Amino acid sequence: MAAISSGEFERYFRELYKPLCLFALRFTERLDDAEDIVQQAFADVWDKNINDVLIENLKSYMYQAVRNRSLSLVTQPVDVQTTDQFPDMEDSSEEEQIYNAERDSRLWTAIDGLPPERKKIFLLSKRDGLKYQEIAEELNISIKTVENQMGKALKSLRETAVRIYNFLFGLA
Amino acid sequence: MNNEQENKLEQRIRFVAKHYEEGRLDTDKAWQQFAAKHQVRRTVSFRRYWMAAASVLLLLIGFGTYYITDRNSPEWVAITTIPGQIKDVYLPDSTLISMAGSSSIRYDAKSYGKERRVVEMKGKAFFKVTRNETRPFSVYTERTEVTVLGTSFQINEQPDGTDVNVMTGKVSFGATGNETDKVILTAGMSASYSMESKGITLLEEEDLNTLSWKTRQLRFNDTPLEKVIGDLNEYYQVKVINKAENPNLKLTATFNDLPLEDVLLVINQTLDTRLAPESNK
Repeated sequence: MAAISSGEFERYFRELYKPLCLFALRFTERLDDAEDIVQQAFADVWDKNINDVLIENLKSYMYQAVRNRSLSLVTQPVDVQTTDQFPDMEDSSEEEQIYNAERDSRLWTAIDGLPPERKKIFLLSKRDGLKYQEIAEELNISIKTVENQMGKALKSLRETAVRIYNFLFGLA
Repeated sequence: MNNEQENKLEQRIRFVAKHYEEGRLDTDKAWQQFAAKHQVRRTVSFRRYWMAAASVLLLLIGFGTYYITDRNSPEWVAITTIPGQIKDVYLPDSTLISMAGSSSIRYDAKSYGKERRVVEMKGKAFFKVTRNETRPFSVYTERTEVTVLGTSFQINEQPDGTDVNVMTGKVSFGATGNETDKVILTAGMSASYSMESKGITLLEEEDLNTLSWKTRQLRFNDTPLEKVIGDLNEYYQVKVINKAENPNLKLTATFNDLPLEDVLLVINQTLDTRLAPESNK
């Protein structure tokens, strides 16, 4: 008999999937690898679960597992596995890293939710590194419209993130 | 928010935007993929109910839970064949599974036959299922499932898809977790699930030699030469090539487990071909 029911397992999966992918992404820098790693880590836990192995803190365990799998993927010879090469991971506690991954996940969802035109402009700017002038020319719209749309896009992303900051540090 | 946080947030937005791809990291899709691959079945309410009932029982009569949980944990019986080996396996209900080489099956000896009869398999195998209308028999491959009441059929799982050939009776064949896209196959029918298109196609031509590995007999009835060569390659696990160019030839013949050389000799003399196994040089 499994330690937790398949319904509970599904809830964990749905809650943790996206943040874990974004967590893995910081190491792997490749979406495909990140998703593979997270799927494999869950498969491993599912097998354990079927064999009635109870994992005390599944969330924390999953972050550990994904981190280890990511590191062994990106550091070819397994010498010293440190996070030295990932500057923004230094000095942050496990809790903080989890919060960061969850915030990244919310940012992703927020981008998902942008209206199509605004999303296009936003991605041309932040993903493809185009200047506002270039975006205006590319899409045949005025630079004013680009500024306007970018302002709205960034505002909604910030609001998404600020909620987390307030929660984390109790800032207004 | 102070400047440092503002900077950090800008960094995070850049990071997420850099990797953003439309439609990716879809939790629903990811879960479906996971559930299909690992055969997670939704048995929540039943299991919860059962667990509650078990605990009450435990409190009331001090019954050892160990016994109950142990009784319900799977007891896998697994059988694997090496390349070239053929093995007949009888399940507890006297259903026969003939396994071709490089194949494996497993079933849970504890739950098998209680409510359903479930077998998981890889590779190629022929099934002769003992009829039992109240306990459906299901075979799961990595992506597909075949469900029957009592019949005989063969499953051939390959990297690019899964073929099912039905000898007698009636079977239901579909991708695991997809209730709508199922086909019902009756005697003589074959269907194929393609990994690429994720769909099922019915195969028109009846294949005389799909069970050759088991019957040790190769039969050809007005069969095009290309198909003959294909069947020989499969049966003898070789690569036969035709050194002469003779288009549109057809063969009618039966070979009862003859050595490849003899078979090639007969075909070459009958059709004036120059078939030979491809040498490694």
